[in-house]
Amino acid sequence: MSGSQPAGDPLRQYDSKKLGWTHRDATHLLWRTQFGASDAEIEQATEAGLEKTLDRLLTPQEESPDFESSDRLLRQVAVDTGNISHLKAWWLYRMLNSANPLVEKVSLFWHNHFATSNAKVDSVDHMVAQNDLIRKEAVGSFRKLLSGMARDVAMLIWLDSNANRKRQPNENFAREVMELFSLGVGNYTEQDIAEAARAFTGWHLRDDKYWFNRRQHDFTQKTLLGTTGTLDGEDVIEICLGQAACPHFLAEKLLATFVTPRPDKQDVAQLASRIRAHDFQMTSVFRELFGSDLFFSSSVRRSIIKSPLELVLGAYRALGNRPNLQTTIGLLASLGQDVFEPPTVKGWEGGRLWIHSASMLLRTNFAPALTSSSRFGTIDDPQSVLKSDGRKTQDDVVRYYTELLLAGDVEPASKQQLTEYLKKAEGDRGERSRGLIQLIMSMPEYQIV
Amino acid sequence: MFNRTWVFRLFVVALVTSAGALLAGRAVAESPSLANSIPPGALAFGEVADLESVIDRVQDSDYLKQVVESPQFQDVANSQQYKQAQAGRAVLEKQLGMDLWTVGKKLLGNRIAVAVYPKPNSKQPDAVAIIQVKDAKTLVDLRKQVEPLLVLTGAKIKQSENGDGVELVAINDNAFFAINDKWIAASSNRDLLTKTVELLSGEKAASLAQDEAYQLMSKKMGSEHLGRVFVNTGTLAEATGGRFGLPEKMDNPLFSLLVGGILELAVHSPYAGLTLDVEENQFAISVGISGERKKLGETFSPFFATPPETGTRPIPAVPQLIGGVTIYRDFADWYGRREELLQPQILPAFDKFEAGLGNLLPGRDFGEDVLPQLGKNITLVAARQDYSHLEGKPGVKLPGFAAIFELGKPDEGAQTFQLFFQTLSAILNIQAGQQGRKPWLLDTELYKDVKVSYGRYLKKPEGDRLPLVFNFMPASARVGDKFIISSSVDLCRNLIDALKKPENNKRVEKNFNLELQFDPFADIIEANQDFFQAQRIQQGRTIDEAKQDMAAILDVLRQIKSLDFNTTATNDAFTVQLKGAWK
Amino acid sequence: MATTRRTFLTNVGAAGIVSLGATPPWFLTRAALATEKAEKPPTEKRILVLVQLAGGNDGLNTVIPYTDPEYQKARPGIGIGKDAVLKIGDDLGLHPQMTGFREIFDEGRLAVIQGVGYPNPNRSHFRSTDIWHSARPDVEYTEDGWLGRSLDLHAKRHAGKTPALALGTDRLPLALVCSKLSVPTVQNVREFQLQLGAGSVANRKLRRRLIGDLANRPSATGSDLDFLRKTTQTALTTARKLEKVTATYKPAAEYPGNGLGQKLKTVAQLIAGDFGTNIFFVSLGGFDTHSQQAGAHQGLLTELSSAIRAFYLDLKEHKLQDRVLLATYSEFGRRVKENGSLGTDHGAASQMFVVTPGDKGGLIGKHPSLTDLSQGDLKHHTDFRSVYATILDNWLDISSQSVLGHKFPAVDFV
Repeated sequence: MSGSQPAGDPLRQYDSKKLGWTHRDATHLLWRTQFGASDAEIEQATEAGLEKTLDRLLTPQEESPDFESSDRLLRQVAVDTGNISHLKAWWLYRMLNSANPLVEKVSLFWHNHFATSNAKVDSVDHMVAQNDLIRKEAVGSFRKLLSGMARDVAMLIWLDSNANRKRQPNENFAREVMELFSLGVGNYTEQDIAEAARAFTGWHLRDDKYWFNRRQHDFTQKTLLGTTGTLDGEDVIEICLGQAACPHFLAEKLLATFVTPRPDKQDVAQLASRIRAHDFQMTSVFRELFGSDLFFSSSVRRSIIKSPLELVLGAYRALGNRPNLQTTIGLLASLGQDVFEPPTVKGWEGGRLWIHSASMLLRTNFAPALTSSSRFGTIDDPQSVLKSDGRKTQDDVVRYYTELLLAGDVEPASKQQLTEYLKKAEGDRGERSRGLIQLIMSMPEYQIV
Repeated sequence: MFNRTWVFRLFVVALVTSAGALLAGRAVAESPSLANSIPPGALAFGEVADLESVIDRVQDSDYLKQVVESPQFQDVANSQQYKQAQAGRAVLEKQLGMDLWTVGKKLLGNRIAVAVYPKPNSKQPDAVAIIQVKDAKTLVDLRKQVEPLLVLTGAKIKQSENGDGVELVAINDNAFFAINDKWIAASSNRDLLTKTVELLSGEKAASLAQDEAYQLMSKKMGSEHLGRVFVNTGTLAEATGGRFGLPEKMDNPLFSLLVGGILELAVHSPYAGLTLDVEENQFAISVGISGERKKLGETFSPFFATPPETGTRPIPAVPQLIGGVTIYRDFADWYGRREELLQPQILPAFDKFEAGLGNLLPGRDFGEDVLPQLGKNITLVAARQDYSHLEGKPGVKLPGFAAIFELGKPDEGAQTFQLFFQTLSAILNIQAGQQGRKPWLLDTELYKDVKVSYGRYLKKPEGDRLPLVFNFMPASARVGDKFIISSSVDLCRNLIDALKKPENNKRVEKNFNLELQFDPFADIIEANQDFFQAQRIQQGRTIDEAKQDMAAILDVLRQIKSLDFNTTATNDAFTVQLKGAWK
Repeated sequence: MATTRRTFLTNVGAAGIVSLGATPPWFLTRAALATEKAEKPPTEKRILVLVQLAGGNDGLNTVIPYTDPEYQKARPGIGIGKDAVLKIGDDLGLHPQMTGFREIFDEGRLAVIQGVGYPNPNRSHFRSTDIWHSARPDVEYTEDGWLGRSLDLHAKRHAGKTPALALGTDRLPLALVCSKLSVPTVQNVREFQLQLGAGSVANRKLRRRLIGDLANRPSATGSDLDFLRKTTQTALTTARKLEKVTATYKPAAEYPGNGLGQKLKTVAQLIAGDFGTNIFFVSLGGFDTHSQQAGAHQGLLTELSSAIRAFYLDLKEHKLQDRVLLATYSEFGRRVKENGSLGTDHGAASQMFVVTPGDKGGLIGKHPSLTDLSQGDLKHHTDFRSVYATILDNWLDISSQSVLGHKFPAVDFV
């Protein structure tokens, strides 16, 4: 409850009892914390209220036996064959079916943050081990996550840690630790990187495991960001975490991914202070963030351009698709988001960079492929969906789908055109509804979440 | 009515019928082939005899029950089209007064024949069809039922009698029927129908059975089969401009190697025939053409064995054999003649191939040095493997594969292959280092006096779900004039055992042979069912559905015993045969 | 051989105008510039097609100094005989299979830039390819490419558009990697057509109209929605254009069935269809001919020459040849002396071919000496970044200094 934070604090807890908890609030919350949501899920969240929904999202929920068996089988086939596309299918399955969807979405955030590509690592075993590490600490301790990454085999391969030797330090990892993983550009000097590289010398890979190569480690004095001593890798991490820039850097990224691409300075500062206060314990941070005034303010709603995963998986979840995961992977790759294979160590920049004429066409073409072909799977038959829901009139139908897919964010003129389609189109109700869904998914508004 | 000819005929029919009934499982028709009643000059002719026993078997089979009860069939059964078809069937059955199975058996149970004739100035050929029934009453009854339906269709019907007890019906002036109580004949051409009726009524006139090409075919392929098709390829070739549109030179080398000679034979053959036999639990389809190789010329000599050589070596019987392919070709000769056999634009690809091979066999020229050492037979086998080279098993269990090369020059050939094997292993090892895989160490062992070279891992891999790559541990060995290259040491040893037996070394009279054993095949699919279930889940099925799908597939596979596809080339006939057996 | 402007000038003794960097007399420059300006199309219509020859093309057997006795000495096995070469100079000839290139050369539209390389050549495929793509031989970890950086310079202009495109590659080549934009890799031009789904013709038509209408709404300038709407409109227009083009486009030349031919055919289609992309990247692989080089190299050069010839003729027929500059390059050449397997190993300097949009074809620079070698390899005299700089400054109108970090002397092919 509010009280400890001053009025005007963007992270003050959103008082849903006083301000109300509507269907649209639940939609907004679920869309940002999951990869889309079905009508049933939104109904349930509306019923349960903000607190209970946050509970469900942030406490580990038990998985169903079917999920466990499928998850195990898909993971096994990826490891057995050593084929990365099976591993991608495994993760997509989890994103769509896990009872802990927020964990999967935040795992994707960290995957992007610590972007490591199988193109160089070339090993399903290593990539899945890194993914396990991420998932374990995704909504947990960032300190443990960062520390684990410094010894993660995939990361060691990706950033050439074996080349970092006492007499010839290789700065690749040290640079990325500071520039991309904890501090951000401009918050350290080149000298700091050199010192940090020396601290990480000997953090090597041997026989497919992390190994501390004493002979290659530089045990002498180093000075990093103001601290002097016989620093080693762990010390570097602690020092970085202690910098004021670190929670600030994380806060910016978290806000851009989950809240708004254009946060106020005050929002960033407040979130940074909460991250520091919770000492990088992300559960508490997320709890505050997703329950905050800022999160539910009107300026941040409908402000993020969907990543390919949000677009595709969101459509699947809303329309009840039984997906063909392999073709989905191909589609996501051509839209620019191939999980386990980010383009560079910077990851996917996101936002407007997802959009250009080629990808826009692909996104638009996704709609008819989903609604009137079985290339990506078969969606729930609209005829049965509408019947069980009791939607009778054409206005009802338009209202249902614009709520489900756009949270009602549609101009009256557009709404009229959608109704016009239902009136004029040929075919039975099911066919016309599919056409309607296709039109809504082709609207530029559909690209926003 | 009851004159001596008729009595005699009836006696013969009775004799043959009882003989047929006694010879359980053999499909023998109770009357002579309808080729004797079809006018000569047909382009193609097809005949089916004794369909009744087949229909019986299908109707009673467990397999049909399984198919109908399967979930996949339920999906089909719920579709709109299927329901409409069922409704139509119900109406028809009511009208005819009996279910369609019985109609099939009664009507089609004896002999059916169809023939096609070229029609001058037209792309559409003329056709003749005859249905000969056993039970005279059937036709009479059916006619009564069908006539009202015919009227409903609104077609223009003209009926007449020819005075011999045969009723003639003409519909819309382009379909002509002749019916008596033993047979129905139909044709799109009035003259053809008249001739057919004459032949059916016993007139001594020329029929298809006297056609030279037809006689050739019948002599080579026999005339007692469940189903037969005859094609007068000579006439057909003329009609289609000489070569059925087949090019003189191929543009795909693998295609040319496999079927080049055969297609060329077909182009020059006066006939092509197909026969079908179905028995208790096996079937056989044969396609035959004339095998006169003299017409082809030397260019095509690499494709066929010249006596005293008969053909390929058999597929060696190793335990848990899943399948094998064996082929007889004079590879060196084929390669040497490639400019005559293949189209010019693909020839540079061979130059590229030789350049690439140069890396593996440094300093040698492929056509001059390497190929002549190869003999005329290559056999490929796949069998389940035991993983004795591992402490455990891989997650995905692949079969072991092997290639057996017959060596024309055994000593030199063995050395070349050994060199190839060694170089390949070295290259793969270098790549292994770059790609983080484990390298192989070349080692040898002596197995029953045969030296086996193989690559093994430095440390025996341990684990229950090892990576895929551990399915492969290359091995090679020379047994007499044969060289084995295998992906599994176990399989190599089994092959050595098999190849030491004389029956696996004799040449058989086959040109190409492919064999598939379904039980070991089902075994290996079952051993990997996790993999297939995961694939199904990836395609959108739930885990229960995926398990059901797997069970259904395995069920079907275990019903089948084996499949055999082979070709035989003798001096005057070339046959392609497909045989299958089920449980 | 047609008399090009260059040979004319050489003949009248205006030496120094030819090739690299020397400043020509001002009046000639003026005159030259004047005619150039009149001929060159507007910047936004200029196209660059980059063809990578992956694996290290053996330049010495591509453009052959057939009169040099050292050549036959060094290559007794794989040397091309002097009667077989297609002569393009007094002492140089093209590989006998490159009849297509010879045709373009005779029209004065093929520039052969000789002796291209960079200091301290690296003979590793990956490293050298990265160097050519990033144009930064001194930086070890490169994250963007020279074309990517040039696109970043004008990122605002390109927002929402597709200024560059890689065709038929698995991954985006480093040369096109930018930080501010996203460049697509396309396998097939069919991806660019608007799909309308199943159903009756009337339904599909209705949906097509509505998709356009629903995107064609005004919104607050600069907002995300505005950006999305404008991009959708551009995408729909482009798809429409492309549909028309593919329906009516008749390639005016017989493209060979090989991979490069088909890719260039697609490029021609996209150019003719006014797709809006200015930079195309395609790759032809297989040039790493360590042994039995003759057959493989011949096949590759045939593919290269025939595909580019068809492309050039097609452009000519559609009157587009003045808008397109096509350049080929390889990550290194190969050793002068053949090896023991009738092949060649990794080398250093080689040539670049440029199909020029103007008429500045011809031989540029001298062929590197076959005796004055560096560790057995040809020495370069033209830095590849000069070629890049020329393309950037003189063709794409982008400051080469900002992209490459230094000013490199121009090469006279555009």
